[in-house]
Parts: sequence; structure tokens; C-alpha cells
Amino acid sequence: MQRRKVSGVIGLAAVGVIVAGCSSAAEEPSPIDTEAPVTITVQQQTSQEALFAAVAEAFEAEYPNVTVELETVSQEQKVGSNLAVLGSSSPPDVGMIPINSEVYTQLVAADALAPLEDVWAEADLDERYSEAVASSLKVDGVPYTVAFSQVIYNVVWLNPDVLAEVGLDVPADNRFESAEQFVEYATVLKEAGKGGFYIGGGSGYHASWMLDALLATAATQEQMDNYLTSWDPAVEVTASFTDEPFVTSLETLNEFNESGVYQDGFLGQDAPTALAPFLEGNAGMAIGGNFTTADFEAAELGFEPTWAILPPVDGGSAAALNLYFGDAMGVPAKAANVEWGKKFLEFLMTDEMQQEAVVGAAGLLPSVNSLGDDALTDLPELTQVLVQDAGENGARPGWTSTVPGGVGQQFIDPLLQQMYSGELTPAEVAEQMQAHLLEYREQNQ
Amino acid sequence: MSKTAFSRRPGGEQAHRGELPTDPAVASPPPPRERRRLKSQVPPAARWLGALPALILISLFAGVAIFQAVLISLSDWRGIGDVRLEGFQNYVSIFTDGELWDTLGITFTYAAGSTVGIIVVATLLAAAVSGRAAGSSFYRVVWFLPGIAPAAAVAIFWSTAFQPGFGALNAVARLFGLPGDSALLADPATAIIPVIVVTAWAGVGFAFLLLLGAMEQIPDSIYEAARVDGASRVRQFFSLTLPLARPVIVVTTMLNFIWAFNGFTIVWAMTRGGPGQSTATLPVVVYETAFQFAQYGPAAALAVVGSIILIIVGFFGLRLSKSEQ
Repeated sequence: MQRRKVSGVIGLAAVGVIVAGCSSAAEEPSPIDTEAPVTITVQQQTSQEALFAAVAEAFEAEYPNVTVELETVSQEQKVGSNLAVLGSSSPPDVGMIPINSEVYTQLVAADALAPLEDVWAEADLDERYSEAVASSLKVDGVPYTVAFSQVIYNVVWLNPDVLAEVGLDVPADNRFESAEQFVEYATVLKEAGKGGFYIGGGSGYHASWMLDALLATAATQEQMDNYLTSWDPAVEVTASFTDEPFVTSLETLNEFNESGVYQDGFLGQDAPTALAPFLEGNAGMAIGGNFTTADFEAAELGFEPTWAILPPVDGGSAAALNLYFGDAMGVPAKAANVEWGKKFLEFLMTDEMQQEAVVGAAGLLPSVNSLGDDALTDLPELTQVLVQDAGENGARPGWTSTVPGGVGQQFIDPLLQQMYSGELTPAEVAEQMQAHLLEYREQNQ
Repeated sequence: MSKTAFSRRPGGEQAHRGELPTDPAVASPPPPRERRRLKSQVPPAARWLGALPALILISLFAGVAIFQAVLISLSDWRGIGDVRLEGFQNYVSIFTDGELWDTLGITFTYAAGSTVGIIVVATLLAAAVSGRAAGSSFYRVVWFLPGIAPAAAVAIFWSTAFQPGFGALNAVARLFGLPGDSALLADPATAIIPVIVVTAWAGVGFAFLLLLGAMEQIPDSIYEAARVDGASRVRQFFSLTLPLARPVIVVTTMLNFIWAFNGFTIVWAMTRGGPGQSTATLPVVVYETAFQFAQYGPAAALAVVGSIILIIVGFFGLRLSKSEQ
């Protein structure tokens, strides 16, 4: 089997450089029969049922001969066992394929996804995506997926009432200026019985989220590009994980832990458990993202939350919010209705569906930049503020939300937990990460 | 029920609480010599033909899956595409990288700990209920309830209960003047303890029913004789109940060990194998290796090793059970 190499465009995407000629000439799509009844199967993920119900309903109205059957996959499935489903001889017509998962990497390597050049051409996605997003969704210049929403993460949600109660103000300009200031806030909160900074250390990804935030401030742009792409054997490793930026980021995280920044028992708590005290008004700071506003709404908060950005490492560049645009969808090559699957994706990516379903029904951020100025007014006010900050001050793709899970998040999470438990030093974590990178590259030659 | 069966019992009373057919003509299998004589009368072809349905079923339900697992364990399969064999490389890797032994250590600790908890509690409860302790009919139902609760729900409830501050167990501890801020799940040294406790809690019900059934088969007359001889309740438990129920206890122990060894849901829902790898039992590592890292070859090799271990455990368990019988 000749493996396709997922090119280094992801890293280049991070700096917004276009390296590929984007897409080659779009292939002429096969005609679809708009008369014969057909049922297409579309995967949706948990918590996004409203989005896909809206799209399915509109699609069936647009094409009356089509019935859309939605299959729900869990957060666990979409990054793991869904590979077997999508690679089977009877896959759904549209699959959920996070690009920072081994599901995507292995499907592309096995030529198991239909190229979507025609979908991209029809939906004009090269123009409507930002350069970073467009580049990251292509392999050797060919798109195999479409990203239907974006996520802003590494937001420090603040309860201003609790901060005032313990004599703290919301950080100026919604930014912690230093790690020292961040530690001070958490310490004051903890001493006042408000638990410090709440993260779900047991579910892992909260810990590696913070690594994303710090690494982006510790590394130069060139180093960051290499960290984002060096998992690809075709890309030379120029930034080692044992180099200063990565080690410094780990040391900063370790200092946070040793200073008691996190709440007691955080390594035994998942994300919802960690967020609960904040929703109840008993915590001053908790990690989250724009999606957390849905929890705020559901919990009917008794306070007006505000936000801040995590600090940079000492001497690092300015901190920024992090972006994840990996929740993508594609069409398995063996799907029964490949053309209808493509048509569904094309429909999903119209401005109308981005507005009505992604923003309106699900309250998520659209992945395209072609919506009007007033398009985001349907979003929660806090989300709009985050979008505005990202627009004005920039937002960075996170390391773990960009590289394949097998080399990034799923490998580093247990190591970070071991570091927090005192079983590993930052240097040892870095060494294991570098060794794993080299092993991963060798396995994917 | 035949009169012959009753006439063998002291005083001719109905001494069994749970009656079994005891007429030799009905219940007993033919003696070995008779079986050999009957067997010789059936042509070999017919015997094989008679066994064919069972062979087909075994091949379909077990053989194919086992064959495929072994095949994948000898390959570098990444979850999709062709299976390319690469010999015993995966086995060499897992036996030489050291992690297997840590994983097996955690798995044995978890399986043995939860099995001991289940058997001890279930045996004591079954003894109390079979001895008609006050409220025994109520406990008969109540103690089985945890066994029918969904494992994931059980794990989520208990992982919350073990949280410092707001967890139910810490709240109870505070009622007794204890600190109430323990975070067992957050410490690699202690995280396995809540997982073992919850697994035992969820597993007691079924073991309790099995052991209760065994203990209720013990004739009352034996206990009456022991009482006449002045044996205390405790003495009766250790000298009569345990020895007579031992075959069922052995089988129940073996089954619970195997179930815990293969258990995934409670461990994953409570800790996901963490913090770090401190609760990463073999099934958790197999899951992570296959589904998170798309390394199906090493994952299958781990699964095969686990299966061989359990076959050995099962073999000795059955031998022990038969010898006790």
C-alpha cells in the first residue's frame, strides 16, 4: 500500500502561508438523480444534534427525494473506533473526522476518503476559509474534509463577584500579564476557599490545552511551525521537544502545580466536574472555551461571568486565545452515495447553513469568513467578545489541536499527569515526547 | 419426589431448603462402563456428525474472532487497509519495553482486590441471609440492586462521591469529624483503591446470589447436629458453611477475577487509566493502543497475552473447583 503523506501544510497554515496551489482543477462531479428516492446517512456528534437536525431538515426540503438519517457518534468514538466504521465496506455517506485524530491520518493514508475538490470549488471554500484553515484541511493540496465550525479555547472564565469578594480585579485588558500574576490570583482564591484555578486534569485535555497556550508564547514562529508539522516524516525536525520552548512551557505548568494553582484533587476530576463549582458560583476561575457559554446558559448563572487569557511564559511573546478547527467532515470512498454525501457537505458549507445551523441552532462559531457583519449577533455576547479579541489580537492554532492525537494530546496527557504527580520532571516529559516523535515518524514512513 | 429420597434423611423429614431431584434413576448419569458401552454402539461417523453443530458454532462464535485477533497481533495493521504480517515483532516489543509488566501488575492488583472484596462481602451476606437473619428477605433484594445498575452510571456516581470537598464520602467523613478533603482518585498511589471499591460494590450482588444458592443447598440437619454438639454460629460458618459451599465459592471467585481482569467500563469511566498510567489496566491499555493510537497490532498482542493468562487462571480454577467437589 502506498501511503500518502500528510504534508506539512498544517504548520505553514499556522503562519498563514500558502504553499500549495490550493486545489487543482475541480473534477466534474457525477450527476445526481434528484428524482429517485434516496436515503443518506450522516454522522453527527453528541452535543451538536441541533445543528445537524437543522441542516438535515433544510437539505430534505431542498431535495425532496432525499431522506437524511443521522447517526450520533460520541466524543470518544469520533477519535477512535470510528476509524473502523468509516473504513468499512458500508460506511456512512458523511463521516465525522477530526483532523487532529488518528482517524483522519489513517483514512488519508489508506486512500479511504473521497477527494472533495469539487465540493470546495462549488462552495468556494478556498476563498471563504482563512488561509490557515484552508491549508490545514488539505493533503498534498487535495482537500478531503470540510471544517464546519471553529472553537476558541483556553479561555480563563472569571467570576467577578468572587474576585471582588477576595479583593481581586479582573486583569487589565482581559490578560494575565505574567505567570506570577496568575499564580497570585489562584493563591488568593484558594486561601479564601474558592479553589484556585479549576481544570479537569483527570480527563487530560485541559492540561494539554494549557501547554498549547504556553508553547505558543515560548516558541518562535519558526519553531512553532516545526512543532506543528514535525510529526510528518517528510518534514525535517528542526525544533526538538527537548529544546527550551517546550521544556520552559512544561516547567511553567509544573510551577503552576507546585504553587497550588489548581483546585484540590484536579487530577481526579473530568471537565464537567471541574466546571461545576464555577457554575454554582463557588469558584473564581475555570478553564473553558466559547462552547462553555452554553453551560452558562443552561446553568442560569447567578452572576455575570467575564474572561481572561492565560499568561505567557516568562519572557515569552504576547499570549493569545487558541483556535481549534478540527471538527471536520468527509465522505468515505466506499460510501453508497458519495455524490449525495458531497452535496450534503456543500449544502452544510453554504452561508445560509453556517448562519442558521452552525450559529443559530448550535451557537457555534462559523468556519467561514463570508458571513455578514451582523451574522454573529445570534451568538452569546461573551462569544462575540472572544471573536472580537481574536480578530483584533490574533488567535493561534494549538499544538494538540493541530497534530495527530497519537503524537500529541493522547500521548502527552498521561505524561503531564505524571509530571503533576511528581513522577516525572519536565525534562523527562520532554525527553519522552521527543523519543515518541521519532518513533511515530519511523512508524509512519 | 420419591419416597426413597426422603427415607434416607434423618427422621424422614424434608431437610433440604432447595430441593433437587435425588432419585438415582432420574438424576444420576450412567456409570462409566455403561457410557463406554453406549459409545461403542454409535458409529464414529455418526458421533462426528452429532458434534458438527457444536463445532460449527464454536468456530463461528469463538474461532473466527480468536484467529483474527492472533492474525492482527502478528501484523502492523493501523485499523484500515491490508493486514501485513510482520512475525512476532509486536510480542517482542511488548515483552521488552517494560510497560507490560507494570500494566499486568496494575491489572492483577485491581482484579484480585475487587475479587477479594466481592467474595468476602458476598459470602458474609449470603451466610447471614441463608441463616435467616432479621430482614433477610429484604436484604436478599437490596443487595442485588447494585448488580443491575449500569456500570457507567455506577462509575460516574462514585467518582463524584470520591471528590474532595463536595463528594458524598468526604461529606460523611466530615460528619464524623474527619478532614473530608481526601482526593484518592487524584493520587497515583491511591487512585486504584476507589476503583476496586466501586467494582466490588457493583459486583457483590451477583456473587451474593450464587453463594446464597449454594448455602441454601446445605441441609438444615447438618446445622442442627452441629448445634446439638454445641458449635457456635461462627464455628458453624467456618466448619460447615464455608467447606460445603467451597466449590461454588471457588467458581464464583474465578469468574469474578476473570470479569475484573477484563473489566473496562468502571475503570475508564472513573479514571481513564490515570492519573498518568496508575490505573491503566490491560483492557484500558488495549483500548488506548488500538483506538487512540491506531496501533492495532500491539493492542491485539496485548489482548492475546491477557487471554492466555486468563486461560491459565481458568484452568487452575476449574482444577481447584473439581478437586474441592
